[in-house]
Amino acid sequence: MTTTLTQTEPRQQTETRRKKILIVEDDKSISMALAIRLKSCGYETTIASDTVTGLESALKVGPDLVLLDVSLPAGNGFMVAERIQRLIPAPTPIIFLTASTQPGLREKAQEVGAVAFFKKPYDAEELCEAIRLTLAGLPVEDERRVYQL
Amino acid sequence: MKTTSANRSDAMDIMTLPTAPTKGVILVVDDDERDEARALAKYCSVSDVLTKPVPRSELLATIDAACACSTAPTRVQVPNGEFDEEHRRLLTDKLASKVAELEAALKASKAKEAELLKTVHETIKTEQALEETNRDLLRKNQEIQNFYHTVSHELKTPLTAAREFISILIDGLAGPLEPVPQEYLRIARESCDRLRICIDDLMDATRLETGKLRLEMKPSSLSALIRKLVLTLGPVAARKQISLTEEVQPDLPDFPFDENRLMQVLANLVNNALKFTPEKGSVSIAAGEAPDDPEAVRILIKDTGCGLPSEEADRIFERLYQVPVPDGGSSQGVGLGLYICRELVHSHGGEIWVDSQLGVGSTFCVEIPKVTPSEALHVLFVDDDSRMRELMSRVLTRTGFDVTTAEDGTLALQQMKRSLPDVVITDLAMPNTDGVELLKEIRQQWGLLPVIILTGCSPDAAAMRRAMEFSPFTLLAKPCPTEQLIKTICSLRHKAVSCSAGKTGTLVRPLCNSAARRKKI
Repeated sequence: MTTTLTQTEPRQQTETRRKKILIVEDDKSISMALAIRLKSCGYETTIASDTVTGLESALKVGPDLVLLDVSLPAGNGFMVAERIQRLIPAPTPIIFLTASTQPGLREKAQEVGAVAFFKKPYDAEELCEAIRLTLAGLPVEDERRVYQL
Repeated sequence: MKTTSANRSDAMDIMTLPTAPTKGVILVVDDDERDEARALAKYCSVSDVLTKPVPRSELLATIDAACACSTAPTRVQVPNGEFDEEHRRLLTDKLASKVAELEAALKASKAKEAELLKTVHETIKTEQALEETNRDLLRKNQEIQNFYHTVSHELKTPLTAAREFISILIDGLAGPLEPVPQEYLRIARESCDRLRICIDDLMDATRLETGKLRLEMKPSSLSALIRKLVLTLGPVAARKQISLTEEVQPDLPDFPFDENRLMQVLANLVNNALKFTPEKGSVSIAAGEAPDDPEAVRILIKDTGCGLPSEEADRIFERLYQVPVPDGGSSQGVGLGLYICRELVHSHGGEIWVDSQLGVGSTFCVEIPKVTPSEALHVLFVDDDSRMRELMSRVLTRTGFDVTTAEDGTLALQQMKRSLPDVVITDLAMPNTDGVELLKEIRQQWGLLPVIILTGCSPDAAAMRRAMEFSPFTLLAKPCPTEQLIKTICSLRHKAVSCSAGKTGTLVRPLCNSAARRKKI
């Protein structure tokens, strides 16, 4: 099931094309919060809540960036990342978001070519900055390494 | 002269025949048979009894004497076959007692064999049971880990949504906000953050207890880390008008530590200091070489807070210990923060303690060894279990040690002759040259080279007693938490240095004594 949350957002005339971000996240509240946040930054968002829908949406929408949860129904985020990169000819940057504390996930994300890895609860400001940099073709400094307080 | 040889029973028969075929009988007997032979001689025509060994000349002389007087052999008449009976009984008794003796011996040896078999069976059974228990424990450990990961995930997911919606409101994405609701929402978001720290602490404590916590040791800059810390906590200090200052020894070199984990420790300590320091007070962070140990770095976090009574000072690092809040308020946290700090510092091979004066303030002190890569310790790990060698090699290499392994004492000694390690870690039971032999060789060839015995043997096992002769060594029981092993290796490094410099001395257990160090601040 794909939900597009773009109808209500007023179009910004200054940009020729608004960047599209695909959110693959199984928690409805989190995906909704992410969509609100990203729209406020001027992006177009699409939400998918499992691996299959996530991949379908990616192929259909051709997003400029994908926000991926790691633990998802019917597989995991790494599977989606790998297939997106194989099936979409244009390079699609991926940012992972996870509440999981299993070891080795950050390394796994790097392996599948993610540009950043955020632990939940994430800091919205940092996430938006990472997205902005990525879409501008700049390198992202991974999630602030300082232990958050 | 005609000679016939006969064995014992034939000889008896010959002697007791009614018509004697011989001219005379000379009994040649063993020493213990002499009395019996003498008794026998009374009944038949025995010329003489000789005891073995018989010199040839004596034997010939006796034969000559017997021949000389045997032309008319005298026969003793044994009335009514009485001799046969008594003689036979004598022999039978002797035989019977011999048979009984042999049977008893056989029985005893069979019993012993059965007992041995039983022990072997029991040992095998115990081993199997142990192996099974071990597997069970590993599985349970994994289950517990998985459970905690699941719980943490399930707690953090709704927390993420709650925090982000609060942030959306604060950031005005749902419309402008009045100052008061804005302030309330900030409090709500701070509560979310406290809840997250709480979940993280629980996870860390579980990892520490199940030995799953892994450090990422990389040469890093302590001054950069402290600057970042002050920058992050500056706003918190400013809110209470507390002066937060840092002073790091300018020429302090980079050294390997886990940046995130040390940051976690220092942030926790500074955060506590800020919490317990009243408005307009001060908190300072200072770092430099430890005054009494150029191989270590000491970080002091000093506050002008309420201080701790001395009986609290020793207990605050205990797990689940909660610092009582002075004015009867509820204490914050589950009592894991300082415990985790202590464990993380220990994982780095360091020590943490507090010096405090009630009403004046507290100084928390963290001291960690500064083993720079060029001086990385060479550790030789000796164990016949290949899995153990592989695991330890990986773990110790990651911690920044230069690790080599050997599968028995012989190979270890060969390696040591090529390149002498700073510390040797050895198992006791190994094929070829075992741990005790290796230790003995080390003591003979390299004096007080630090040795850690990592064994499953109980301290009162025979091997352990033998090993004691070649002390000093540090004894660690298998399974040993990696952190403890690392800590022990780090603690031995001074010894390694002094040993390679040719100094000798008694090896004191070199772990820091916090009580002793506290006085030196």
